Amino acid sequence: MLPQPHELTEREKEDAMGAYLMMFAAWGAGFPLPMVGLIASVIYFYLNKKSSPFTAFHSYQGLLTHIPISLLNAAAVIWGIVLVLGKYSGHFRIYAMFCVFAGIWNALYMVYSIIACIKARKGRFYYFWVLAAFVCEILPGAGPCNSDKQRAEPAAGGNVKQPDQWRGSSVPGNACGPDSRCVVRDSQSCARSPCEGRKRRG
Amino acid sequence: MFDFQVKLLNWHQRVFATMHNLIDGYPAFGLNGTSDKVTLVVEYPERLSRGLLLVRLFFGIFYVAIPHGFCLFFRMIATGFLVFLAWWVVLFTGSYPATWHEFNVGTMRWMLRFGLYNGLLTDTYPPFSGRP
Repeated sequence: MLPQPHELTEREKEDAMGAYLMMFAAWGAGFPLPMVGLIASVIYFYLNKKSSPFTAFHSYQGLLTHIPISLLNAAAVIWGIVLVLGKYSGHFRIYAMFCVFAGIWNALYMVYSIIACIKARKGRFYYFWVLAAFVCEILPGAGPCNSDKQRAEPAAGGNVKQPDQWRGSSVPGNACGPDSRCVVRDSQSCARSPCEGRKRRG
Repeated sequence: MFDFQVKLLNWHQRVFATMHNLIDGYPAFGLNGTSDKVTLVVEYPERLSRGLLLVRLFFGIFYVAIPHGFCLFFRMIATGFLVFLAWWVVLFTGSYPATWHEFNVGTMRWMLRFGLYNGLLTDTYPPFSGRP
């Protein structure tokens, strides 16, 4: 069963958040040496992979998000060096377009990482498009990968699809069962749960 | 050596807290000085990972210093403002706003944990917060 936000310790949430903060390492030292940021993520993952499933999931997802960005930035840096050294000088326009493309991906990466960071701090899972499936394949015990029903299903556009149990019940498929309970602390979220709706109608 | 470092840090924290008006009174001199308002307890690590030691030496700046430094940078700016404002508040009202105090102590705690990890006094990666 997925750990609910109130069941997680503050430390677990903070460690999960830290996985996405490694992006600053990618930027702080990453542009001249893009793979350095990736190394930071690898180390952070290895420090946290044996901790709680929640932290391990976010650490691994944070690591996976670094790979394409690091490769893109590495390509941009290497291509730039080659251009500066005077070879392939005729390809400058293509290089400029590539840099714009890489810049857009970096911007998207930053936005999604900040969102993931906030979600992790709140004790919620956040699924990056495609990548969460890899996390489930490699870390089957981590976070949302515990069962087939709870397998991560990234929504279109690479955004979040929160499992039902975050909304109203800790029991998947039995949201309105006798032992259902509101697992979200704030009353607004609880009021949206399907159980609440049925109770009101009843 | 471990005790010496912890005592030195204790002393530093006493002075730091006093200088930032987080506590009243004069900080006790010396390594063996104590304070009932500032206490630093660091558990002695029986074994430290040698692999992690090398990782910290070569890559510590990337996976510890930059991510924590980024967060602490903004937090320290906020703390600086609060320390300045709190000085005036204390001057006029005689009391330090509790939430500001908690925030500033949190910053101090975060910096200290960051220092302990980098100073090889612990193997536990510092959390991204100043909570106790």
